[in-house]
Amino acid sequence: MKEGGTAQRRSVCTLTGMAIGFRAFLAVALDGGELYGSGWIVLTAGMVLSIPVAAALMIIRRLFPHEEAAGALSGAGGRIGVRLTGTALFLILVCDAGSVLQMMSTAARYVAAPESNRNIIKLVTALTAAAAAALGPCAAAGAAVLWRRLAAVLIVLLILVQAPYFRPGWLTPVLGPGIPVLMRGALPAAGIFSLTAAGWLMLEREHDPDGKAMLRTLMKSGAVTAALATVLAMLVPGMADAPTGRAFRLGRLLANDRAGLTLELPYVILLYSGMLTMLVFEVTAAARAIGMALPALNSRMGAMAAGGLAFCLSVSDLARQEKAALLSVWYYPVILSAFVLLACNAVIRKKMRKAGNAPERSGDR
Amino acid sequence: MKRINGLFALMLAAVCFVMSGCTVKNVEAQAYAVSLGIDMTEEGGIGAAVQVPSLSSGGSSESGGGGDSAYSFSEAKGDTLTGALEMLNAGLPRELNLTGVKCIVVSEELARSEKFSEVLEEMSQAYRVYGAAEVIVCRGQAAEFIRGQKPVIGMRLSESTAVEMQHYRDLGCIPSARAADVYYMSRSVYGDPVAVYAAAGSSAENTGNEEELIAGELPEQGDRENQYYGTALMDGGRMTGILSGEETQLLNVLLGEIEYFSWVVEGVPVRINVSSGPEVRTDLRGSVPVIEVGLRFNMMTSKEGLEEEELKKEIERRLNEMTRQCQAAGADPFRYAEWAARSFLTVEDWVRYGWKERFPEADIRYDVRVKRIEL
Repeated sequence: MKEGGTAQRRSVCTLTGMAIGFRAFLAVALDGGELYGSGWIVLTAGMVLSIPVAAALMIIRRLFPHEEAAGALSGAGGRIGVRLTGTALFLILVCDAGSVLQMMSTAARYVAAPESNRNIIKLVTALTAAAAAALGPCAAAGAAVLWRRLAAVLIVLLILVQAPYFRPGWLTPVLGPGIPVLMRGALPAAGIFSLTAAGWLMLEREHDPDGKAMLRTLMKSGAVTAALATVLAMLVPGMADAPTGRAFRLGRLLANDRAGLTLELPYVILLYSGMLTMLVFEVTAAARAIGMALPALNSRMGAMAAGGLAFCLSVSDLARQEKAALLSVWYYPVILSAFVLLACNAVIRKKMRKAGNAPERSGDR
Repeated sequence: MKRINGLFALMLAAVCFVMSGCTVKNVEAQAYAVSLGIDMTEEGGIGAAVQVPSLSSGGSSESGGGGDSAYSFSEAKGDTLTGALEMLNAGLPRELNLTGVKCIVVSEELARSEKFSEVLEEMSQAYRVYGAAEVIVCRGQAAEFIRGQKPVIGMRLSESTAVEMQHYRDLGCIPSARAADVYYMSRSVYGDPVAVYAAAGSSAENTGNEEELIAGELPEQGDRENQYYGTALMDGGRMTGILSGEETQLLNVLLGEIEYFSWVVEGVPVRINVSSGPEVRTDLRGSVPVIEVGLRFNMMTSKEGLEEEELKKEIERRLNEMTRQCQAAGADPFRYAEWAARSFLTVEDWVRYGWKERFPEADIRYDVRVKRIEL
C-alpha cells in the first residue's frame, strides 16, 4: 500500500513537474521578449517567486493532515474561499490550455501541415486531452512517467550530438537585457510555476503527509528547466531586433535551425509529447478545480467542460501570442494571493482555535 | 469506462492522422531543391534558381550519374526573394520544397549590396528553408554556378555537395557557414558572419602566390567546374572582403574548427598541428580594445631547413596580415566579440561600448609558440 502511495505521489509530481517545466520553458522561448542568453535567470527567478505558493500549500497540508485537497482548502478558507480559488485556478488553467492548443496548431502547421485547418487541429487535440482527463489524474500521471524516461534519453542524445556547436559566449553579458526586463519576464514564468498548486489538487493526502512534495517538484522542475534554457541559449545567439512571431521562434527551437535535419525528429517528438503532457495536465487539473468550485459537476463533466472551454478560448483572440503573454502576467498574482491568503487564514483560525476562541471544526462542510 | 477508453483511442488516432501531415504533404508531389541560387537582376530585383532532382530521368529521382537529365534547372525573377520564389514555384510542375537544400549560392554582386541583408531576412522567414544549408558567395552569377554543380564522384548531387563541403571544411580552406548561422550572426550583438567563397571555373589570372589564392584561381584542371576556396567576409549583413584559402585555414584555427593543416614554407612542406588554444584575453579599459591570443603549434616535417622560430614568425606574419584584412573589412569573424562581451553585465552596456566601431582599431597581439615533433 505504501509502495503504491509512493508511486502515485511520484507520478503526479512527475506529471506536474514536467508540465509546468515545459510550459515555463515555452513561455520564455516562444512568448517572452528577447532575453539573449539570460532565459535561465528568468526561469530561476520564476521558480524562486513561486516558492511562497508551494510553502502555502505545505502549511495548509500540515494544518489539515486528515483532509483531501478540497477539504483542506475548505478548512482554510471556508466554502466561499474554496469556490473562489477553484474557479480562479480553473480559469487560469483553461486560459493557458487554450494558449497551448494555439501553440500546438502553430507547431503542427509549421512542421508538417501548413494547409491544415487550425481549428480542426485544435478541436481534435482538445477532445483528446478532455478524454484523457476524464480517465483521471492517474492516467495522465502514468503517461508522464513513461514520457519522462523517453524525454531524458532524447535530451541527452540532443545535447551530445550538438555539444560541438555550443557557444558559451552567447550566455554573456550575464544579465542580458537587464534586471527590469528579466523581472518582467519572470512574472509569467512564476505564474506557470505556481501551477504546482493545480498539481497539489491531484495529490491524495496520505501520499504527501508532510506537504513537501510540490515544493520538491517545483525546485526540481525549475532547476532542470533553467539548465535546458542554458543549453538552448548556447545554440542560438541573442538578436537585437529578431522577429518575435511564434513560427519564427519555433524554427529556432526546433533543431535551432543550425542542426542537421536528422535531429529535427527528436526535437519534434520532444515538443509534441511535451505539449500534449502539458495540455493533459492542465485539462485534468482544471477538471479537479472546477469540481472543487462546483461539487455537483462530476469529474467527466468537468473534464469535458475544461477541454471544451480551452478549445473555445484557443480559437479566440485571447490565445494569440500577444494576448496570451499579457494574460500570463496575471497568473502569478492571482494564484499567490489566493493560496497565501488561504494559508494565512488557516494559521489564524488554528491559533484562534488553540486559544479557545473558535469552534472546533475543520471546515464549513 | 469502456466508452471513455474507446473515445480516447479514437481521438488519439485522429491526432496522429491530423498532425502527421501525410494527407497534405505527399512526398511525390514535392519538388525538393538541392541547390538554391540567388542573384541580383539588372533591374535591381532578385533572381532565384534551383536544381531539382528530375523524376523524368529513368524513373529514379536522383539517378543518372550526373548527366544533364538527372536534374532539372529552373530560374525566375521577382522584386524580392519571396516574389522570385513564388514565380519559381508557379513555373515548376510540383510544389517547391526548400527543406532539403544543401547549399544556398549568392552572387558576389548581391552579397556586396545593401539588398543582401533583406535577402537574409526573407530567407529566415521563408517557409522552412533548411537552416543548416551552406551559404556560398560565388564570383559571377549564382544561377550559372548552380547549373554547373554536378556529382563528379558518386551519383547524387545532394550527397555529393554535402561530402564535398565537409571535405573542404576538414582541409580548413572554407569556413563553416550554415544559413542559420549567417542570418543569426548578421543580426546578433556579437561578431560577424562568414560565407564560403566559390567561383565557377578557373581563371587565367593566377597570382602564383599560394598564400593569396582564392576560388577561381586554383591551378587545377579536371571534371569539376566549380571551385570552393576562401572566405567571404561580412560586416553585419553585407560582404566586405575575401580571405584566401590559406588565410581561411588560419581563421579556422582561431575558431577551433581544425586541428591540422599543411603549408609550404620557404620551399619546405610542413604539417602543422594545433596543440592548444586559442587562449583569448581581452582588455577593454583603454579606448582601443586590446586582444591577446595565445596559440601553440606542433610542426612535423621530414625535410631539414625550417626552424621552429622561422615557422613561428611565418604564422605570426600571416595571422597579422589576415587580421588586418578583416579589420579593414570591418568584420570580426574570430568571435572575439564573444570574449569581450564577458566584461559587461548587460547587453545595453555592451552595445553602448560600440564593439563594431572599435574593432577595426583593436590592438590584436598573437603569441605563437611552435614545437617540432617527430613524424
